[in-house]
Amino acid sequence: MPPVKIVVDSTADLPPELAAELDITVIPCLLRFGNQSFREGVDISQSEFFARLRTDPHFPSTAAPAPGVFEDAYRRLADETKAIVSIHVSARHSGIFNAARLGAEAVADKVNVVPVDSGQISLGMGLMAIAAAEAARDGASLTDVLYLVDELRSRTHLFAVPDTLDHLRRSGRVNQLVARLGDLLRIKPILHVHLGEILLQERLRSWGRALQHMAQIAHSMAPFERVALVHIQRLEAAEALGQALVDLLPPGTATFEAGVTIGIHVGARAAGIAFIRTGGA
Amino acid sequence: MINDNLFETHPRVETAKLCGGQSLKLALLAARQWLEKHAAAVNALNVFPVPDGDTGTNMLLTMNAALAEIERSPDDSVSAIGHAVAHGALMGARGNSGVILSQIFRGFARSLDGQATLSAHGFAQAAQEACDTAYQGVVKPVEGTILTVAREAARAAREAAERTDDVTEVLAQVVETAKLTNALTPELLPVLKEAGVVDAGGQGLVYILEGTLRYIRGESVDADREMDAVVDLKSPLGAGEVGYGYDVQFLIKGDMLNVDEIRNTIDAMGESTLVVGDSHLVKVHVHVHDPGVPISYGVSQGAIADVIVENMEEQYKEFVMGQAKPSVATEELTDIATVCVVPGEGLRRVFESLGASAIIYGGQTMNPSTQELLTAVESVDAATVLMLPNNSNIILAANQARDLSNKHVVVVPTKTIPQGISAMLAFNYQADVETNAERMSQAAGEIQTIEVTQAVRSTQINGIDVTQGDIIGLLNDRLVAAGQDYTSVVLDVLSQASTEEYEIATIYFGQDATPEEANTLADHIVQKYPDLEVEVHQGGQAHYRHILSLE
Repeated sequence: MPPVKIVVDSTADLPPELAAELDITVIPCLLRFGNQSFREGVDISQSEFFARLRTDPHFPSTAAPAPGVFEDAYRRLADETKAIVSIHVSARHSGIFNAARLGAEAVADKVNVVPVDSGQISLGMGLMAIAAAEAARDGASLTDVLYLVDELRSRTHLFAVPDTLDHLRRSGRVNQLVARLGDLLRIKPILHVHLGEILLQERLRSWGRALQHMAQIAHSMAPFERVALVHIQRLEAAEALGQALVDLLPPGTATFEAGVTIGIHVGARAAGIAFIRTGGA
Repeated sequence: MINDNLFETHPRVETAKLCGGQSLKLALLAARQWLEKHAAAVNALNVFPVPDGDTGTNMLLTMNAALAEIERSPDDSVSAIGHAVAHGALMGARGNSGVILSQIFRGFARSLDGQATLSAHGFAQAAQEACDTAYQGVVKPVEGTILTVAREAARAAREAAERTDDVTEVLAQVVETAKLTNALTPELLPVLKEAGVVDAGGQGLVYILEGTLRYIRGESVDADREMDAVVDLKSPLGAGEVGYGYDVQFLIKGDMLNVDEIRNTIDAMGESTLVVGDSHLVKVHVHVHDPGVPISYGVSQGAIADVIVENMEEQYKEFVMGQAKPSVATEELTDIATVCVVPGEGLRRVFESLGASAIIYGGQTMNPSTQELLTAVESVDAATVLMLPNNSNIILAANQARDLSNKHVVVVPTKTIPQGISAMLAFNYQADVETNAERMSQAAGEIQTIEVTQAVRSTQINGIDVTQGDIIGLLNDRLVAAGQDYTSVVLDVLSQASTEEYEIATIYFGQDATPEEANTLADHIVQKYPDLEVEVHQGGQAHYRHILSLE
């Protein structure tokens, strides 16, 4: 039986080598400076992006891949498989899921594509995709993979501390009222992403305290099946977070730098942790 | 880029009864051009108070992708042109509005399948198919958006096609209905009404339909003269693409003004440009970082008048602050109200920005009465109230007010302003009142408060001799330092407060202090504690020259 193929969008923040190794197809999101568009990770690298951010007069914006791009990718994979699980960023916060859904409908006669709303962003989604790809590699059926991903949704969490709330406020992806509270003071918020919600878990004044609180929260939610440490231009903070939780990190825990799409919405100099809690079984 | 003279060099629709593939193509190219002219205005229809609306750009980029494949196509069947456009849009769709637009083209093309020409009746059918496909294109269709505009436009097309077989007439009805419907979108979608804008995607669709109609009627899609009216639609910000800078407007008066040249020059200077007029009078509107640049240029071209320069950063702040009525904010998010006692205007703003529902003025030597506290508790629109006295002398009165009130009142015994701020930050909108009270008390305990003032009499406290008129420093309400000037006393207190362990010092300067004085104090603190981040805010309190927090 041909294996189930896993597709994600680039907001899963999986490095290309890892995606290739696990046979995960990554559909790049788009970002735009003025009228110039780039495919994340294809036409523009992380460092090129940040260089441009400093010099380009336009504030960048992001866009979902077009439905036709998903359609093309599914069509190509249809030669190798009859079933695709396409895992995407929370539908509440992006049009990506909808574009994937439209792409899937267009190829319905050739291949069975099931788009899944991960309810997550960045490595929260990335960890789910890795788990799904490993299961598919080990011969799981479409039903098995879908069951697994659905079950992982409720166990997957992402916590992050952005340097400011400005970018999230600008992106319109957190509650505007909450995002404005305390904007006279410089706030270090702890964000919690779970089941499609982005919540402001805590508001602290200092980066050190916020990191410490985030570690405490994570600590209280152990044990973990999978963990990813995430940062945007703040490697040392992700590493410090890893140190604070070192006894709780399962083998295979790695540190990732989030991509440009997430970066535009969260801002530079952020750190966080994504994890899948150990299941009840 | 389309040649502006396109519509003089190409024939318009052969007959008004049937439209062929080439006419459809040219009409869509005109629609794109019309949208392009108005893309900035569509971008400005942004529900979020930040200058990054991009619906117009996304729809335009989708149109560009849709038309890229047919721009040079000689095909004269509407079916072939329709399918090529639909495919291009599907591959290049940007943003939610772009995706919906791609679905509109898809449905439209499907309806034209195998057709060589398009009749009024065929157009109405295709419009309905386009609308249905658009609705299927989103997971949860929302009314008051481009979808509503598409639906009403399709309805208008069907109704008109029953009365006439003239494509132009049907399209004219469609455009009129689309405009009316989009004007009504704020009535259907509350976020639009709150932001005072019509739906951006709907407006984009209006321009696409209108551009098509203009082509069929043989009208120009060179839009400058119409832009004034459109710009009025924009959000209160009047924001363009790039971050804030200045909004500059002026008139140039002269004899032989070259409007095109002025437009090209102004275009190159900034964003959201609008240059309209004739050889005697030109109106200029542009967003720039340096307002001097366009104004100097204006002077070089003629006499300038009616100059308006607005700082958009300030507008943005005002807009954000004006929108964020914090009492409304908290009440929308939770049924727990917070009542806070603060001793100054600046601190009132800080507490309001943190979501305080009611503020009572009070503090050192001006303690509010139990009755005043009770009145505030009763005045808030919530049955559950957290009280933050923010002064050790007010806790007792707060407790009394709690006992007298019929509401569920919990006093978080904050003794200082920094404790109160720390407590407000710990407030969690998802938690119940007891959990919050506990979180807030704990947060209040984690902060160090430093207050400096002038001694009103001579005394000896904690082994420190104080002469009347001395500057005295309190650490967490305890007198720990006395001296002759504020800076040295603050530094003395800091040296006793394990300052190295903290990351942020915040100075709230009092009504008798100046911002310069507070900034100088901040500089001295940073010199001594280079790892400390120091923030300065106006507190406006009496008695305490400065209140500082360490956290």
